[in-house]
Amino acid sequence: MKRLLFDFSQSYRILTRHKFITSILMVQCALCLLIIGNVSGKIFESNKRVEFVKENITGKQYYNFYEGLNDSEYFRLMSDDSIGYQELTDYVQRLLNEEEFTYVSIMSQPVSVIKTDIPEGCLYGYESGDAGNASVTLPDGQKALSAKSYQVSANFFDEFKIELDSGTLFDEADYEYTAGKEIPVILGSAYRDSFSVGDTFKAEYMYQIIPFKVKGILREDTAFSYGEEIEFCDRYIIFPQFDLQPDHPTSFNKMRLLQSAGGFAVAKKSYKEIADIVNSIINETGATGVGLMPSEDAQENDLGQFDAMSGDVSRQFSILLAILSVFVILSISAAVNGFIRESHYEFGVFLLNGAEIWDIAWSVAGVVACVVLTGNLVASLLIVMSSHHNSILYMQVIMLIIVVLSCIAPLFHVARLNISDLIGGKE
Amino acid sequence: MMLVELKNISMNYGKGANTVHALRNVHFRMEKGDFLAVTGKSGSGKSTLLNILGGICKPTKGEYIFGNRNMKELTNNQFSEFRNKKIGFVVQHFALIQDMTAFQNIALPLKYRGCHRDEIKKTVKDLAEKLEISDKITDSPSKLSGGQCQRVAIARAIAGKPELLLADEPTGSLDEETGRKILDIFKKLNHDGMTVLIVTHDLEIASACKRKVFMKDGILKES
Repeated sequence: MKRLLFDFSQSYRILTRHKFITSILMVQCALCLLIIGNVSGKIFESNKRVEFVKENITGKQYYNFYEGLNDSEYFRLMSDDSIGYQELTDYVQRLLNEEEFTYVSIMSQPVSVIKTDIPEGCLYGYESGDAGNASVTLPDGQKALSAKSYQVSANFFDEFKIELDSGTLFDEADYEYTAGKEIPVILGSAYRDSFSVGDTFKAEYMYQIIPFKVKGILREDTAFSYGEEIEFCDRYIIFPQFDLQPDHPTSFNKMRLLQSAGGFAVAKKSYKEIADIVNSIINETGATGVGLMPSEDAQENDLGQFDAMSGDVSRQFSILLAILSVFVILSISAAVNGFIRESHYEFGVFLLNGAEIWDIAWSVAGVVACVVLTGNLVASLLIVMSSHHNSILYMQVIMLIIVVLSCIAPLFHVARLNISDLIGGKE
Repeated sequence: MMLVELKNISMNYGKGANTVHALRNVHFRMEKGDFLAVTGKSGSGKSTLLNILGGICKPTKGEYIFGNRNMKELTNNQFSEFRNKKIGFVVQHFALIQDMTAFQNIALPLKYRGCHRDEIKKTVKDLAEKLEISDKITDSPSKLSGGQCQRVAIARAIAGKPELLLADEPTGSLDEETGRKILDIFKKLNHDGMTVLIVTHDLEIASACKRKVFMKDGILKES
């Protein structure tokens, strides 16, 4: 141990003798590790999403349903006579009960939350750059913010294996709507800093001010897909698509009914087979303005493409990571080899006085480790400050690889040290 | 009592037509307490002989016996230990580390031996007194004269109490008077029982030694 410490004290001497070069190397190493850390984090995220797609989505067929009542059908439904309400209720109920496929009702519609500090990313229109218009004034004069939300049927959570970070999923009773009762919600992970399980808030939903209560918070990166693209739930409020109320054709229930007619079916059958079943249900119930999306290739989802795309992004990042790592390794190896050449005489003196090649090797490895560890420390601090904590773990692994690989060339050089020229020289 | 024996030692550098025969079938013995001078022209094989005796390189052919041990059996790490414990080196240009103090330079073999700090301190202090460099112990070699540097180098060479002290042109970089003083140190060390081998061109130094050998074209002859 004492000897090892002495060897490392020689590393310190080498470093202080080359202050400028080692400082440059440390800065270069810090910058590269910073990029490597971020890039490796992205690769991990990308791989995680690909895994998600492979595990949960690939292989399933999804068929989308539409609700497209024309103006006259809509006004007749919303009139006091509620024309078509029963037919539409029967239609949705038949879809939900159908055994040939699983019908999942999902609707995205903003809710106006009466709270002014919800995360910006959760505002309605954020992705299209219209989050500035999310602030609304409710009819009673209260200020609110339009937030993105999904209303989902009970089988949504099973279908996509949705898991929570805290709280509990909806139970059966949560799907029964009673006016004035708190509606349970599950929030995306982006809401973590704004709400906790048990918190309540009020929001306007379909022209009514309704109390909401947080029942759970989703895990980060929770996502689902039903064919076209991956939908991440991190910035969404999720609440139940309530049970149908065939005997109470209120305006609120009518609007909810229309929402329930939009969704998708999961099946192992062909488009034509599903279309035949749906047409039969429409004919039998007499519902109008609803049905299966007419696209012939609706069953062809783009997830394979997403998988390939994510894999491609991952590959590109990996190449970038490899290039940066090689760049750092080559720079350090070249500089340290220069130090060894310059210290040849000194190492020779050490060897004459009883040092082993391993003593020299430890001194050289100490130089490499000091440069990389200092760079790593700086990069880690910067990453902690930017809150990408996960990246630090990947960075440590890469850092260790860099230390090991950067030592190879210098140690090879050390192993070939010839000190016979210290005394006289070759004859 | 025999300390060193070289049996039929040859040393070649290079291959084929470019082979250099630095040593040719050298037979050689040194007793404990010997004070030996090796003379000869440049390229005669003196330094190669020193490298082999010091365990820096292995001969191409022949046997090197140190004490009772055949050096052929030693691993690289055992050679390092051999250099640390049995051999002291003094070279023409002192071989001091410039950014270490005289103290640190002298302490080097003791550090590699893993000696305790107090033991190192005492040994270096005693040696500095013996070689009259006590007042220079905290100075770096760049602040010392040639003679003082060589005294530091000798102190380092004998710090580990080696059995054989090898000196390669120890006065080559010094003026005549300083050289004489350094020679006196070697004489005193030998008088105290140390076995000393000096490679030199200087006939005055060679004549001061108890025994002389001469080298020519890799062949060693007793004179």
